[in-house]
Amino acid sequence: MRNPIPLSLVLTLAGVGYAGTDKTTATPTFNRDVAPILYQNCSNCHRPGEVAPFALLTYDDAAKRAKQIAAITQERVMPPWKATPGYGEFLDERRLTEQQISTIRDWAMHGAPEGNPKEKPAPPTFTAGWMAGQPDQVIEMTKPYSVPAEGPDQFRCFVVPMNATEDEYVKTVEFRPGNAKIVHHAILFLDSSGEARKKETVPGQGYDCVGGPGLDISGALGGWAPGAEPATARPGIASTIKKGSDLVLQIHYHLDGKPEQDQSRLGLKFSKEPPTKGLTLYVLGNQKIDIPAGDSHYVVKSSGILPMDVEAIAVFPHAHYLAKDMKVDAHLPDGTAVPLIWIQDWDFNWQGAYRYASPVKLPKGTRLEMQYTYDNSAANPHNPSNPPQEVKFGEQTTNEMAFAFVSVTLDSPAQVPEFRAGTRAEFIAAMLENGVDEEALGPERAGQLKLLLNAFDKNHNGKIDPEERQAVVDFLIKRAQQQQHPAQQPPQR
Amino acid sequence: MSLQPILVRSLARSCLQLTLAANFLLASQSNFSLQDTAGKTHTSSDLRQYKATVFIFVAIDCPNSNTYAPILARLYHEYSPRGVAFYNVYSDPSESADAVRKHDSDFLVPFPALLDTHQTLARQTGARSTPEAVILGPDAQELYRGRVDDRFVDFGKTRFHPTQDDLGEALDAILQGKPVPRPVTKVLGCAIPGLN
Repeated sequence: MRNPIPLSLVLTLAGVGYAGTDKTTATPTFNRDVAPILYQNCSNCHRPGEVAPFALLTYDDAAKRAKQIAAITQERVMPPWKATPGYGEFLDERRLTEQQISTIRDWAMHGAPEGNPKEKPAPPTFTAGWMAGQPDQVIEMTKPYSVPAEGPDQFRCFVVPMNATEDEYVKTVEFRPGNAKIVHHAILFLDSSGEARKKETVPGQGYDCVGGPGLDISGALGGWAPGAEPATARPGIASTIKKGSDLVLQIHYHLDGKPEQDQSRLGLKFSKEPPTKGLTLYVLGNQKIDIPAGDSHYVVKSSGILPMDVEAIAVFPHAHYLAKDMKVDAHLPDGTAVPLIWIQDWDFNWQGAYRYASPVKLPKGTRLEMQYTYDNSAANPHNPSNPPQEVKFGEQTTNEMAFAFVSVTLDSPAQVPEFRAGTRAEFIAAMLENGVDEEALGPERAGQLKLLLNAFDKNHNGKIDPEERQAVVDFLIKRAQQQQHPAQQPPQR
Repeated sequence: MSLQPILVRSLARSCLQLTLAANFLLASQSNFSLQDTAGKTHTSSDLRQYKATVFIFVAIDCPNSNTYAPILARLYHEYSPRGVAFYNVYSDPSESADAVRKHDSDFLVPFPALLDTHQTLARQTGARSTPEAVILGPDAQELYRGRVDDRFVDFGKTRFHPTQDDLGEALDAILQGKPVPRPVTKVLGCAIPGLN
């Protein structure tokens, strides 16, 4: 996928020419037609020592599964790629063309011939070990973690000290599963508060964390799912690791039928230069989720307004098992709609970050909107409860979530606090548009919001109207600035 | 004209009877002699020693069949004291005895693994996928053929909790002398090479 000319394009062109000259005898063969598709799209995972359960390197590997490969590619179960084409353009798209799928199908239907040995392509070469080259620092789980042969999937957060004595700027992050048979995905969080360490009662053995690490994270280094390639930040962009931070490595283990151990690793490459651009997350989400048992079409929406110009570089949609359809759009101030991602068959097991092929410019005032649909009926095989139960927001497997984490860059790192204050202000203002929901917020937060509401609800109708809104936003931003400047930046809890 | 449907029906009926008879003949002639990974020979005449014999067609590199290893071990511990024999059957000729032995040892399989190198047993029982379970009675009659349970819904789609333990329910019925509730179920797994 990193070739200067995409192989799929070469194949398509070659295929067109071929079909034009010799249509009747164009039975695809492994050597000429199928091997290049597999090598380019499948073998990176389907090879010994990697995540896939079997190799797809030799003729025998492929021929004995020909019909199954045809069926699975036809249904687009493999390669795993959930984003709807044409709805956001992403890097490293793992998607076969219609032409490639029909080539595999025709090959399987015709008895999976091997073809002319002279046309056999050279087997692909893979970098042994680190795909992005030798890292500057390798961070490994301090001890192996054991999982049993069977049982429910496990979600475990491991706290690993990073020993940074000064702030570090990460350019490249590469996660290597210690045991590819059981590591299904990983999300890399940073904690500079020391809270995560306290949660790990047995050092090195992690703590349970289905929905997230359960603390105010100080940053994140992305995620990993099978097939993901190491991400290197564009020039001027880097993730900052504050000195003394711990890595909180959330790993999803999928048990494979025999007892296993894992000790996963992370390779980091640093930049000596601090980043010239700001990098932060815009979190679009809704915690007001209450899905009745049996409801097969429950919609959760959320929206937010960007307080300054940004460029979106990646999106990470997140929900649990019941979500089926997830759509995120941006509505620019000039009325243009920009699609950010659309997943129509969400599978919790295949979540990950989708990186945009080129940064998506979103000016100040852009409204981001998300609409997620959930199926809490018995007909949904992913439903963790049988019979279905009422499902609310939360971190457990039997709870749900609705988030879209949008990675955005700002013109300068100095703008990050202002951006965060701005998004927080917009978020609070949006909440007050519907008055104060005491039941959902709890007495403490509801009390604070009521004070705010009373101060800015000029017409006393119990909510913030559009013409009252800007004053609320300005006040909250100013207050955030005042809190920030006198005492430098207070350490997080 | 009016006779035609009757004719068709009776033809169909005799075809069905013929097929059943053929099945019975085939079944009663079910004739295999296979070695396990320890070199011990198991033949079709062994079937007579048990109330039922469970053959589970598996493959080293099939994740679907591997998932069931602990579940099958549990079924074995539950049903083998009640006169049920269990075998893993490896019908991919490319799987060596050594590799099979290592695999079943890694997965803590408590019953023997048969090497169906010539796919005799797969052909005779009609197994086409892994993990496909076939239960034969003492007279080699097929009592059940299909999945272990319903956790696999589609390619890449797994039920959070299985809702039907088909293999266990079949064994319960057989041991109680009752008809198996669902004698044939659909298997979702990996194709046995060369038979599909």
